[in-house]
Amino acid sequence: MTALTRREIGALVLGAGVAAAASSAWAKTVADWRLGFKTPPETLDGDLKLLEGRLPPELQGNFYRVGPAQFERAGERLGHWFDGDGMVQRFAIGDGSVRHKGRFVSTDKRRSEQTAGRFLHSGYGFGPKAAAELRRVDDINAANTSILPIAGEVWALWEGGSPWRVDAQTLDTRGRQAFTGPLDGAPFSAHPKRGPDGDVWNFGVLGRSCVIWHLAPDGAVRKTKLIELPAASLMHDFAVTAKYLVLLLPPMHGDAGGEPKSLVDRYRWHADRPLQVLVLDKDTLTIQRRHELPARFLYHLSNAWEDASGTIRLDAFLSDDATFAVKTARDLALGRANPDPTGRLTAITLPPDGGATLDVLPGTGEFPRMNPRRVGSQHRYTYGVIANGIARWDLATGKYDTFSYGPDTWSEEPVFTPRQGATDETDGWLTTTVLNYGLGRTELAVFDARRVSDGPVARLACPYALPLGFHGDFVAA
Amino acid sequence: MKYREILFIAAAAALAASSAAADPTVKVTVVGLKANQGFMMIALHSEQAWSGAAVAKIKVAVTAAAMTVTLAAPAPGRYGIKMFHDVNGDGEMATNIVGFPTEPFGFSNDAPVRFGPPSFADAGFDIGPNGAAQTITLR
Repeated sequence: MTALTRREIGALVLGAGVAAAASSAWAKTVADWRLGFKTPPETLDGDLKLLEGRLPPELQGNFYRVGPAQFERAGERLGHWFDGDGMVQRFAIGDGSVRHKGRFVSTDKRRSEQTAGRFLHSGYGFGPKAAAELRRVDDINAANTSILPIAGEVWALWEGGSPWRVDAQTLDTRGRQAFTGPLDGAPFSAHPKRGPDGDVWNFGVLGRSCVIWHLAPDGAVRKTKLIELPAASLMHDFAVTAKYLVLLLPPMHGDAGGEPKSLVDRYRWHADRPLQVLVLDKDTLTIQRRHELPARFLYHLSNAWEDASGTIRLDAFLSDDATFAVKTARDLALGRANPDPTGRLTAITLPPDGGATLDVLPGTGEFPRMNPRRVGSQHRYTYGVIANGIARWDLATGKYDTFSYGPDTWSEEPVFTPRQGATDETDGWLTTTVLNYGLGRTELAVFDARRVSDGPVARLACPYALPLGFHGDFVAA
Repeated sequence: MKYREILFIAAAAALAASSAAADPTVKVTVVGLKANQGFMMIALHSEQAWSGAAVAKIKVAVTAAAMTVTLAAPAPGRYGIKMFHDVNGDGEMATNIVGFPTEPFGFSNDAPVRFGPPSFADAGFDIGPNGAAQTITLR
């Protein structure tokens, strides 16, 4: 290292990038944020180049991410971000270097559309010109939303279909995870939670039917239950505590009627209805408590825990309404607008008597993550994406630490990896990616989770830009 | 026209009508059978009972990838067919926990499904005095 601080080096690199882009108006036009919504080649393999800092020697393993990657076919533009075929990205981190590999998940949806050479399926928010029939949910399962490392492989997950099994090393698609009997093709959401015992909890929704899943660490089914929701709510994530499962049902209800062109068109925002909360007992999978919050929409929660009095505390990014689902995600895919995140991290307190209080933290963001060792137990810090950067929220003080990559960047989900043997909640690293569209490439950044605002301890450049993704996970070597 | 000739024509017409009425059948060719096991369960429905009881049913052991069977309608008219491949032979259409079929199914006209059975408007076809033919692709 020279006498320059990491921040100064970062500023020099970014400054050079801005100057380079400004010298060529054409380059600037091409390399805008729409670069994140461009279809990559079928396969990507490349070595990353160190830009600044040093990779922590203890951080070794595979960082997986997934996101939509097929944005056009036969001249037709994909009409909604959530419907692009999933591409799994793997960053193999070890011995001071990082290797990238990207492969599409070969879902039934992708294979049929590759063969046809055009979009066939009406999905989450996109209805192509010539939409085929919808036989089963997996017909439109894009396996593009999140990653669950399990039983030595990775599952690429989507909103409401089956997991797709991907080889952890080659990223070859092994096939649909075939749960047997009545669980075949049953909805399995993209936000399973792995508790300290390694067990996996999840939910999956179709209309008012909600399947609760409890899997062993190796993916074997321990228990499932079908429950009926009070409303067909567009529910994307949930939370677990030591004793409970917590379902948050925003008042985006499947009662739009008419002839919906896609799933989200079946739903309607009801500003006059509450956000309903259901608390289920983990042993009996029965509803124990109900709470009502003001009308808010949400995609993601960070974590939940209950205290000795039975009060449940959780935090989530809440939005005023479901504009992102019905408009913003379409504007992004179509290249029309890229507004900053609007979610406000909100601490929610649910006392056992059924009341509820909301405490809104500063800033706006999305993609909350926390120390995975604290899933279901008390956590103090939530990390997330803000416009052009990442942030760490301290739930105890309301304090808010931020880091900005600078202009012409799009920051992605920070994934927390605890240091081996760490006991302090903040002792670990955040591994994250950022699309530096000013320079036409994706970068990998590693932060010390204790010092987010100091900037990355290491930043590396991919030889190319990757499409913007959703969620990831780190599998330590 | 002479009385006798009129009588003859009327009789011939009546004969034709009655012989046609005796054969309002539909020849159903099923393609896309993926396993030589279990049974094809095929049901013919009238428009009024598209979601109710069938007017004719047939159960046939599956022995080939494509098979043809015949069902008889009670009278000429408009009908629809619902069918499934009972792969495990339990007599029921297997579904998953949220109600989606997990055994292959099909409808007359290969009518498209959109998270539910097609409408009779899409699946309905005419069985005339000389019968009808349908090819159903299982999916």
